[in-house]
Amino acid sequence: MSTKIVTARVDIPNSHTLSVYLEHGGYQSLRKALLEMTPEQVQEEVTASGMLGRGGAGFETGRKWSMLKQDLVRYLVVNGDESEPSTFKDHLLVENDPHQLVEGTLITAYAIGASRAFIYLRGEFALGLERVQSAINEAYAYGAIGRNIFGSGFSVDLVLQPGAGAYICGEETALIESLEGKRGFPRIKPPYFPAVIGLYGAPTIVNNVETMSNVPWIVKNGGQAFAAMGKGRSTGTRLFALSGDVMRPGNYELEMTSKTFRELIYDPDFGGGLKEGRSVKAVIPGGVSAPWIGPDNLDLPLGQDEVAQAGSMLGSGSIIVLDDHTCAVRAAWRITRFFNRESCGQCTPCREGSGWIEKIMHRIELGSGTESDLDLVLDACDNIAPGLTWPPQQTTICVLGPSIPSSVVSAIKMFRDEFMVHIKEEGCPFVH
Amino acid sequence: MSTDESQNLVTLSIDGKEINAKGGELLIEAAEKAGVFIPRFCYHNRLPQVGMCRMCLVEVKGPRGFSLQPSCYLPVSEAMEVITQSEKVKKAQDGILEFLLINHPLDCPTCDKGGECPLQDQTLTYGPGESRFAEEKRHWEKPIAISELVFLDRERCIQCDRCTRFADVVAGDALIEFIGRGDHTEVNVFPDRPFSSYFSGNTVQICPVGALTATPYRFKARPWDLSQVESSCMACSMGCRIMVQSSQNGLTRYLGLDSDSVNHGWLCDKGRFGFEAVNSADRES
Repeated sequence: MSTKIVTARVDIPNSHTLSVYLEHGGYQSLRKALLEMTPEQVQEEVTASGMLGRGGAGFETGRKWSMLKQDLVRYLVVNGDESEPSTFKDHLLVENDPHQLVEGTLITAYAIGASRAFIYLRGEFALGLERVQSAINEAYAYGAIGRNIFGSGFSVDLVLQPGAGAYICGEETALIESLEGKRGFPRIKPPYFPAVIGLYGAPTIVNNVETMSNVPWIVKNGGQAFAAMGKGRSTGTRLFALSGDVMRPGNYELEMTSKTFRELIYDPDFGGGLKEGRSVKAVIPGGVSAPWIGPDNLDLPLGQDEVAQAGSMLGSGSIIVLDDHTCAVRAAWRITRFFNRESCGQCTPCREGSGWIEKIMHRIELGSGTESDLDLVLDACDNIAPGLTWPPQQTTICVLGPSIPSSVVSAIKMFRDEFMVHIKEEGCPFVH
Repeated sequence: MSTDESQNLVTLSIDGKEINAKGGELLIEAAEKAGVFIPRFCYHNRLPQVGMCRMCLVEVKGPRGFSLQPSCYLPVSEAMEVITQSEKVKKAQDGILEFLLINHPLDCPTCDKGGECPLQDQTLTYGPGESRFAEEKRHWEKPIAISELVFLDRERCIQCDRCTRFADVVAGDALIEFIGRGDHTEVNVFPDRPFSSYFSGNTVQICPVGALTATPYRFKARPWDLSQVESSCMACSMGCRIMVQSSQNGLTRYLGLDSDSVNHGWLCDKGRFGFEAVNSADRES
């Protein structure tokens, strides 16, 4: 049985309440950090843990914190706008262990010297919002948030902000704009990285919910214990959100690199395999922004660099399995339609390109495509993200743009024959 | 002052040619001063830059070699190397123009902007010759009156943010804003609140397409038929610089001229549209 970090308590009844959290060692890490450690020592532990950010980009958390400009006013923002299709790991954490998130956030606020922390939670998480808010209220009453926490002299306030339903607000600078009450338009980087100019113009650290939820464990057990799990840059555990054509979709916390895609999909304790007689056609390894990988890559370990070397990304850790009864054209079209609807509309390639590619893909799926459409789609994709390389060369303001081609290009490269069947037979050969 | 400026000068190379520019100056401006015009839509020298249209992408050398970057957002620095003419830049410009045109109506012959339209002009100079777009274009009701003076055609709009930025930043009354997301982003007014700004006419002048048109000029003349003379506005004592344009022996339009010490190209609606009094039938003298 591997160690559980972020999901250690999620199955306990009433795990979202303060009393249950305290029974299971809750807020001990915050006490330890505030009363026994300096902010620098907390930072050192997190740096030693080697934890990569769990939001999608996989940036080292400790390094991110060290980049924070040391202005008098600094902010911490927790990104809980989990809206990548098929990603539902933070959903579990905010509903079933909101105090762990709050504790991790408070420790981080202490470590980076934030004067105020914000949790920006996806607006559709009705129960999550309710539970995080009541966790914050309970923590205030308990003395874990507010002035002079546990008599340490450290004070911080924690504010919960619901999102208003835009995928793009999961992009950290769009999230900051949204938090400021503006339209969710990503900011242009460089020069304005949030660690230098973030919320209300102040240096800001933006971290994911899962990243924050790991912090109490790291403080309690030490960064080395965290780094001892996993391999290479992939330290600790990750919460994998497995979905698609598997028998047991769900969240599985695994030590990083300890299992392969095949094991996660087929192990009866995890994915439980596919339906009788079906086989894996493709896997989307890190949310729908990630390029697809084929069945030949199933023995890749679930690690950051391992997946990157295969030309994709582990991203948000959500894994979608497509079996051989899935139409690759339709899957790619549906993903493109999502990006088309969720593009913020700010910069031209993403705004216009997403709609155009969506229309062509839909046309091919419906049976009125031509072979030249495939080259056209690839070229339009190339105009959004020149070279179609991964990681992308960016001509757009944020990474939503280069995410559009991921699925389309993967589908055309891996399943060109299937596109040709749609074109020649003037329709989709699959039963929907 | 002069010593400060000379200390602040940087040398960079654009297309292999060395030029001097003020440190911190935007690349798109430094290039233009050196005689290299980089196409643009959202960039306007009197508005804060937003880097939205991506038309001004050029190749800039960084630690990992040359990459495409928006020149409207990049301050020049010492020893910067820039390429504005290359296959890569050409393809990027082609691509952006194609994207902008896929949902842009081909109604240039009946569009008031035709003949003085940055989209039309830059398509001819930098764009692809043909469209590969075979789908249905985006449709909006056209045009809609957003005030007594200004008409908005959302099909022509290329979402450059010039009008909305002007309304917010320069005029200080953000009565027009982006609504919606993705390729259904539209500029519009808020419900039951017309675009009743005293400065609304400026948005018509800076619109890089024919999305915003002003009632007094709609279907009155073609730009190439206009005679024009520079003058000063007489609506008040400010003395804003204007271009007085006429056609068929009648006043047709005033445009604001960029005078650094006076009006930066802007005019109030009274100054801009007041000329209608000159030939008005209601005039007493």
